[in-house]
Amino acid sequence: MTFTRLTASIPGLRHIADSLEIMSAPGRAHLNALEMTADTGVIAERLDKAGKAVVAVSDPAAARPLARLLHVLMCVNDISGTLRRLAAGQVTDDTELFELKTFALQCGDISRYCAEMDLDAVAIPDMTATVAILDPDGARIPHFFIYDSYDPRLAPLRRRINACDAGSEEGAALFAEATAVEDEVRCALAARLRPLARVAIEALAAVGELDFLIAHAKLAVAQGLCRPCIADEGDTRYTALFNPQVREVLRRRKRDFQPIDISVGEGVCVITGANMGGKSVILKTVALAQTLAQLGLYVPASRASVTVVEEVRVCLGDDQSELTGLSSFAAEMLSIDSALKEASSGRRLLVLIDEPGRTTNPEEGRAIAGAIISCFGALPSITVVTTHYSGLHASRRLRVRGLSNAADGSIGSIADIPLLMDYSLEEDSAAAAPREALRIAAMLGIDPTLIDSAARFLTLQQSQL
Amino acid sequence: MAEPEASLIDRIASYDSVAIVGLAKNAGKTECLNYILRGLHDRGLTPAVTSIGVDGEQTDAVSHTRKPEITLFEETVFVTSESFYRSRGVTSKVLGIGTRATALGRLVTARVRTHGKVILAGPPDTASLRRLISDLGAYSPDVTLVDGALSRMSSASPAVTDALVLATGAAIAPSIPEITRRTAFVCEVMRLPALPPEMARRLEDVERGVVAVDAHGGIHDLGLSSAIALGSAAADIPTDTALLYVAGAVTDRLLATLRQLPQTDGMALAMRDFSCMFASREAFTAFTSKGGAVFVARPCRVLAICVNPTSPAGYRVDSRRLCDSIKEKTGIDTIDVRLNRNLP
Repeated sequence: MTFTRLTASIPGLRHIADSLEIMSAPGRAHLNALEMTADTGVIAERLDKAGKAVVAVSDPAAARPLARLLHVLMCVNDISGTLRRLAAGQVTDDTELFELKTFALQCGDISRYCAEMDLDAVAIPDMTATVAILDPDGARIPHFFIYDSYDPRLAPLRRRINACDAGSEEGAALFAEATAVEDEVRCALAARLRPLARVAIEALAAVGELDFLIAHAKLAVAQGLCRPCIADEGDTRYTALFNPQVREVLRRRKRDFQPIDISVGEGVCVITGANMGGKSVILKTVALAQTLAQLGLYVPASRASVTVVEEVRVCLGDDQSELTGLSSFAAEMLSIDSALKEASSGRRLLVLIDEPGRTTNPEEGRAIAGAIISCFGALPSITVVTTHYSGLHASRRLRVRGLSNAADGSIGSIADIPLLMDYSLEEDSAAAAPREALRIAAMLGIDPTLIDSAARFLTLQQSQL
Repeated sequence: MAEPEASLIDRIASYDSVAIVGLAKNAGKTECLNYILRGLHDRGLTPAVTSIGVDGEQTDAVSHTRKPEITLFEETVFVTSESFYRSRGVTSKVLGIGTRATALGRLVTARVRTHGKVILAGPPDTASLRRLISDLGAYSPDVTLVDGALSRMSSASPAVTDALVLATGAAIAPSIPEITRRTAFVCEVMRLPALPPEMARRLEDVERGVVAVDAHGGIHDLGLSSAIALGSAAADIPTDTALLYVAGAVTDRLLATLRQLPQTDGMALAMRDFSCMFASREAFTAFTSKGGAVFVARPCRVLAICVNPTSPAGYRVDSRRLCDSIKEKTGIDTIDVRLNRNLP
């Protein structure tokens, strides 16, 4: 699946795309067409290139050529239409030839700056043959027209045109004659350039890849992303995993994101924890990191070891759409069902399900959640489920540490809750989900009448059990 | 007769950018531009030429076909759209291609190698036009000419170009007195007196609505989102207001409102530049004849008026009398470029 298609299903991927300072249209095209893969060899190759770019942009000595390189990349246009026309044997006009010449000259500059930076991640194909054809006078300046030197008839014709009165009949006739010669030249140029079109197409792709790699490297350095170790089997482990988008929002409010350590493996891992404890963020971030790793990109963690899967499925249960006529429950069930069918076919997925069965009555909801855990548990996929339901049995349970008991007295406002929340995960042996909803509600400043009443209902329920 | 021509071309060349705007379709703007281009060429001067958008009224919107009509000479730098570039009648060297697409493709900048005719095109908005004029500076033209489209006086705004040449003629009215009156009114607006520079600088930051300036130079925001709202807020205009500055358009309605307010007696009105004036001659005259003075923050220079004595409707007025009449009324050099062109 391509990056563009993945952005529709993987939360936070669009934010990564928006954070990448890609300079050129070919760079953007490279990113959009980037395929997520389960081939560890391909991923390793991409990560090697990404790593080289990270080393290059981190080198203070390379700052000068890097700035120049970025400027050239910014000026690169998408000339793929022109190249396709050339490859197909069509005759291109002056503006197209101008753009091809400009690009060919840019390729030379790009190669030179890459060499100055010691960056050999991408080899830019040699375009000097194209430059030689489009720069017959060797001026090495990005301008183009059908130069006098292309045909000995041109210079005298043009002199005669300029000697005529502007608008005279004679001038018009000479102009038509010159235009005919120019057209011959354009045909000849197209024939000479046609065999070079393939190289130019490769060069455009290479420049796009380079642009993308540099943008990625700058992002990786700025955000502290790490190169993941890629494996075919075993657990996926993250140390200090963080969500770039949430961290950015928190930073704007002058707050920090608490990175978490997490490992997931084949089977079902259930995550429980208080409301506002960051369970959904963990799910989304695990999905994002897995996807980034399999695109061959760096991941938002200080250390990461990622086991490849064939697909990432995120079931957030908040896809309610009045437009499709589906309730949130229906949308959630359909999404889980689709993931289950896919996993049952023997494909190895990473399935992330946020609070299944929460949008219907609690008895049935708990039953559905239990069934989901049981069904996915029998499959070769890696499944992570968050829930508030107690009594669900899974191969592995994690729990958000949440608010310490000491925290109660120090809550002054809603804003204090995140400050006192411990978002880290701990292994949890008890099947009972933590009961912190009323505490959190009280801290949110909800009317005590409501909270007290809820507490009485809770006592009543427990006594009935 | 040849002398004013020489001084006009030299004066044009003394500015960085000059817009040529027509008061009406067929007012002779194209001939005026061609006249200036030839004059510059004859003096060995090299201009850059562009336009504000594409003059839609002269273009077939379906086929985009139009007869090239601007004659460019060697070394002139010009800007047009990709599609018009293909139909050029000059040999020219592509110097650059813009990234933003217009309805007719991206903008191509090129330098003429053999003279001939082209259709000009340019950015559709004044901010981009200003940027383009500045970018053209890289090719060191002696002056940058802007073919200002009819109905887009803003292309001649002092915010965009340094000066302008006005094209007028029989196309706008059937008689010499009426052509003169209408042309003189536009010139009067274009040549409204400037605010003191210090005051103009302080008012430059006002982006919308209306502000009142008291006799001591204090600026009071009237809290209006636009000048349209002035009618209902008229009572809020402080009685010690010496000047009302309108950041947007000055319309008939605005002038009528001001005229009828008791406290506006002796109050002056100011706007950013002449291109903000959308009021009719009648409303403007009614306002000024009641004693209202009008100023602009950015004054504009009208270098000359070019006239076309022939109307597309078929009638023709006396060229010499028309030139004299306009010159007398406005004090601005007025020429019939067709007569001048034939001079030795």
